Amino acid sequence: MAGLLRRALKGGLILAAAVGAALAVPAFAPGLVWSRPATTPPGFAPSAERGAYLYAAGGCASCHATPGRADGAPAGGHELASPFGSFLVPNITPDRATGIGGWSGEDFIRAMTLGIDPEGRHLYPAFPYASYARMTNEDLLDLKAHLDSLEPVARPNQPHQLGFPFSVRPGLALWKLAFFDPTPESRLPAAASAAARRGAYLAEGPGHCAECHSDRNFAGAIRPETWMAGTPNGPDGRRVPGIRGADLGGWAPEDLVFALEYGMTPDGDELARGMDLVVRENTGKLTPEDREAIAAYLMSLRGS
Amino acid sequence: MMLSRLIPLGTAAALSAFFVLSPLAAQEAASGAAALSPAEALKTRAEAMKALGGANRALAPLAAGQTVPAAALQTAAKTMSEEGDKLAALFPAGSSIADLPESYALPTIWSDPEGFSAALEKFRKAAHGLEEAAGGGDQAAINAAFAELRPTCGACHQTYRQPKN
Repeated sequence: MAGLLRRALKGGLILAAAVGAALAVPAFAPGLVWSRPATTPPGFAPSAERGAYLYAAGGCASCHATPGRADGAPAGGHELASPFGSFLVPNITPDRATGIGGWSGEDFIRAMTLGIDPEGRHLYPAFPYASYARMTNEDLLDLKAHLDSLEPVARPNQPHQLGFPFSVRPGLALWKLAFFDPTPESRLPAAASAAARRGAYLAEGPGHCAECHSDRNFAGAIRPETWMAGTPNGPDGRRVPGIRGADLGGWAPEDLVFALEYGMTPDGDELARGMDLVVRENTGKLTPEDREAIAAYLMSLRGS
Repeated sequence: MMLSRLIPLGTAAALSAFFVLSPLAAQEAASGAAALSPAEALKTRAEAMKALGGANRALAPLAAGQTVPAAALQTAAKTMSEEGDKLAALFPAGSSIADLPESYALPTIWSDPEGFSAALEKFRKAAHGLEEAAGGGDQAAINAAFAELRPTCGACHQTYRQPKN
């Protein structure tokens, strides 16, 4: 009996060691598990001008703009409250010491699409790399060219204020293994129009709409069946409505285009708190064609 | 015959004079809706909000620095200030979401009457500001007046209305 127990214990220890060793690789050398080639088509040259548009399409300023700074510089400091603690948004100005001025294009692509920083550390998915993973390398390098063109601001990042065990960064490897898809498939219906295809790219990728407009599980990962279908418990604990065609009962595509441009419902009611910022920093700055594209995509989404 | 007909007329005149002149009646006339039951107030304010929403929608381009044709601008700005003037009288006790199922009005309105009045007054003033600017015709002033007005809607709704959108 005692021998059996000892053997079982020994077996358990060996198993734990094996699991630990298997996890140590993704936890401490994530580049060995998650990689993405940073290739671009021949002749591609990054453009800060195109990048400025993507900066708006990505709503970067919504989170990265420093609270109280009139110039809107993305020097970080905004606090994102979550059930796991507070995330303090980092500085993405090209300051070399406190921002991302020292990053290469490859570093930037890896952070945006795989959630791994240049030191090889995992980034928390409060930074929506699960959405940005859909962006093309060309768009990412354009975006970086725009960030590089900004005024560097020296503002040191503050550490996130997270409870245990969420404070243990290597633990994110487990989260990624369970929930992160580095090559996500679009939810676009097969018969979608060219406009809806463009809209899908904008809404699923840079626009990262699903990050707020979906429900999340115990680990803070989007529950796939609630994709864009809203949640009773969104940011700040408030309800966030579904934005699929099926959820926008009675709205015409032009109502959605109007809402994305001006932040109002078709009855002239204001959109909820939070979305006003999205309209101001993101959808309101897009071309009319791109707002129409996003509306075409969202309208094409039915129930899961 | 003549006299008997004149007496009730005279009484009516005297009575109306009394009510018009009494301070209470003056206040009621100013608010314009003292006699409204909670259900009637709810109906009237829903109509007012609908009109305000329509005006807001018409004015939306101003928020993006665009223009609105002069006639539409005047009409919408007038709706904002006229309907805005009515609102203060349209929230009698007993018309909250707890009292009437169709209501979106949170009980906070009645537990924080000063805050609510201040928020309403901010909107009312901004609405008159827009009407004035619209009359003046200076585009920059019009855009600025709408920029002043627009957040006052949401400011009140966020605190005193059950979330809708």
